[in-house]
Amino acid sequence: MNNAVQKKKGNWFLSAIHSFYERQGNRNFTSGITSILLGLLFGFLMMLVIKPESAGEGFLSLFTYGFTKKSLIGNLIGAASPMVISGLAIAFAFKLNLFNIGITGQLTMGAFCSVITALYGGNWFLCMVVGALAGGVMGFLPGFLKAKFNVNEVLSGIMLNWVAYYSIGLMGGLIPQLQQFKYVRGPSYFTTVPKTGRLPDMGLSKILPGASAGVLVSLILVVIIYIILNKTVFGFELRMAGKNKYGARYAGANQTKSIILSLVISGALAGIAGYMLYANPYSPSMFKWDSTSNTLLASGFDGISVALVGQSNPIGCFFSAFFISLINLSSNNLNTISDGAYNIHYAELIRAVIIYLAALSSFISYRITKWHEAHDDDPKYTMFSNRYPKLGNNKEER
Amino acid sequence: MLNAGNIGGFFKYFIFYTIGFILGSFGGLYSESSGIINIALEGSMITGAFSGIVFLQYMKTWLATSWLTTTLGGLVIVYLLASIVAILFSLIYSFLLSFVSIKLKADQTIVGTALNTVAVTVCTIVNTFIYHKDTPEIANNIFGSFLKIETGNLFWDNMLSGLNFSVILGVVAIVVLWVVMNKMRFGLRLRACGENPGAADSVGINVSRMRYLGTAIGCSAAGLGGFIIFSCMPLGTWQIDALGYGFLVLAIEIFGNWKATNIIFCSLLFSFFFAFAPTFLAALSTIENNPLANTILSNKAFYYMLPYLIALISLIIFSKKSRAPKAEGIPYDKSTR
Repeated sequence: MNNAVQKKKGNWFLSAIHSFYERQGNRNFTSGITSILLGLLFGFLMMLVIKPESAGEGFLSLFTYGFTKKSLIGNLIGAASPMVISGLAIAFAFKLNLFNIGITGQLTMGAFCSVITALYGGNWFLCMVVGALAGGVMGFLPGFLKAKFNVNEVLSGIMLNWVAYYSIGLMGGLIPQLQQFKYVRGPSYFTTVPKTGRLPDMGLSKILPGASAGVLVSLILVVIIYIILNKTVFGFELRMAGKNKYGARYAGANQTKSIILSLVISGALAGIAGYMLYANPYSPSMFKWDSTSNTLLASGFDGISVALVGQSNPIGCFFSAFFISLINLSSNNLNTISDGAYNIHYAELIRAVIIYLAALSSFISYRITKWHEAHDDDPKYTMFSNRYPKLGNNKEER
Repeated sequence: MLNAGNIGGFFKYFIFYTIGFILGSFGGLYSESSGIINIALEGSMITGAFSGIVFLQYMKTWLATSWLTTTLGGLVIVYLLASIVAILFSLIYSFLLSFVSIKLKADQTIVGTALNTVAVTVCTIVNTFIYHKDTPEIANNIFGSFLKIETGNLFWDNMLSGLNFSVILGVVAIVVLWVVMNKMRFGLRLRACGENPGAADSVGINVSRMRYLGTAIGCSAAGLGGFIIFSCMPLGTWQIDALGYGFLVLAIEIFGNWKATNIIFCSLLFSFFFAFAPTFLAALSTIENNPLANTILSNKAFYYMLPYLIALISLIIFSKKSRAPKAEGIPYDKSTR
């Protein structure tokens, strides 16, 4: 019997791959990386077709341009930190198979409320908390509607995005502190967060202009979300319900509570991201609080890309946010090095293709799982497997 | 303030919104009946509208002196051709969704969302290549001077000038789509694939093919709808953005409980509010020194918000009772039959 097993020798290379894919996390990681690489390949091919002579330089600058200057590194950090948080918001809801597309509305409302708090003299922490509360309320609505009235969260989220967008214009007219900013720039109303309400700079601006405490906040939130998801009962219930709704209900998890709470937390994260978008100590963006332009904030949709590329893993979100902002940063440079052949929307297209392919990553991960299962009992593939061989599968053994 | 001209202007908005919304929500109905969730309708609308408008622009420059662009009869042909171009491009676009969700079994909601971004960026890039503009803007009211009708009656003038002939094709398409869904074998089979693909497969219906067809018809209908809305809307320049209408039609579809006839009535309701806000406010702004008018005008965001609020409320009321196709969003796996 012993001889029969030893006859078939193990292949160390295949076995190493097999044992690597023992973990679901590694499967997700591979499929995420594959979709990124395929998306970048697509971008490279497009560059080759449009202007072959600067394709190599253009492709390299996608990754290197963000690191060429100190100010660019600072910009990268400043732009990535809110994206990390909005990615976390989407990823958190994804765990329960909820697609929080209403993040734009939550972000807008969070930004609006925190900007007003700052205008009334609140400090950065208060502003952030107010932003989180406002975002949480906006997140509560689709969660409540989903749990109580069976309203699809995607549709209610989209409608709430527009409701939030227009209601800012309405509420802005009622708040006295905002009236001084009327007609500052033509018919649109712009304000910036005053110095007291911006994120603390913690000396980072001197080294890397643009960087602030925001990156620390985002890191802390990554850790908190990781702990909630992986180390608490609530997180376990969420993940369980995401995998199998009926199983979770059978095990006694409260479905209504999970849906509402996960969207509230997701919305609160979005609110914090909304505050951070406008609270950079070095170069704060103007907050626009009228409703005449008919365009929603694009930053919410950035969060969706971050979560998809990061495979809705909190740590994955952190890296994918930096990766995506790196590509975003290079868009102007692409335009200059190719004399306008690769226009500034080009980096956006590469990003869109990466997201499209990231949606396919479940297919890649499914193929890996199939491959893994097919060779589960083959001694050629399981040299390093620490699982005991299944009894009775091998004919000779029997 | 309220005169025949304003009412005519209102009806112009009402007509193109109604036809666009019905087509868009029929698009959602066809793909969801076959079992594919179509979040990419927004992208189809953008693709259809953009390709049709670009086609019109080319016609205007290439055939500047031909009878096709200088006579009314020629313009009918040009606009019908543009509608067909819009349908074709959104048809091609639909395969980006259907292939990955049928063959590769991807998550349809996420693919749809990604495709919306893809549609916007591709259209923006093509726009930059053609017109050398960095901002996503394209003139949308082409042949505007030809489409101006002057009969002397303000009501008819305001209602008909600006509407183009793609509206006629839109009405025909609505009738055809309604008949196919409700009265023909194809519609029944399509719905069977969305309800119980296993049963449909067991009686010899090719589920994958039905789903490809459902998505293709859905996206092209939405593309035509988008073209109708954004080529008729008196904007001047269109920002290559479907303004959330692609999602609104999904709400209409749920509101109409996945029934073609109900969807038509729901679209009428929503178009009323969408047409009401711009025309009502435009009419109000002609009145001067009226405190009530000034209050309404300073809070005009409310009137733009109204249709979305009503959509939300109708979702709340009707979602509890609504019955989506059972197999919607679940990739069909033959082995689970």
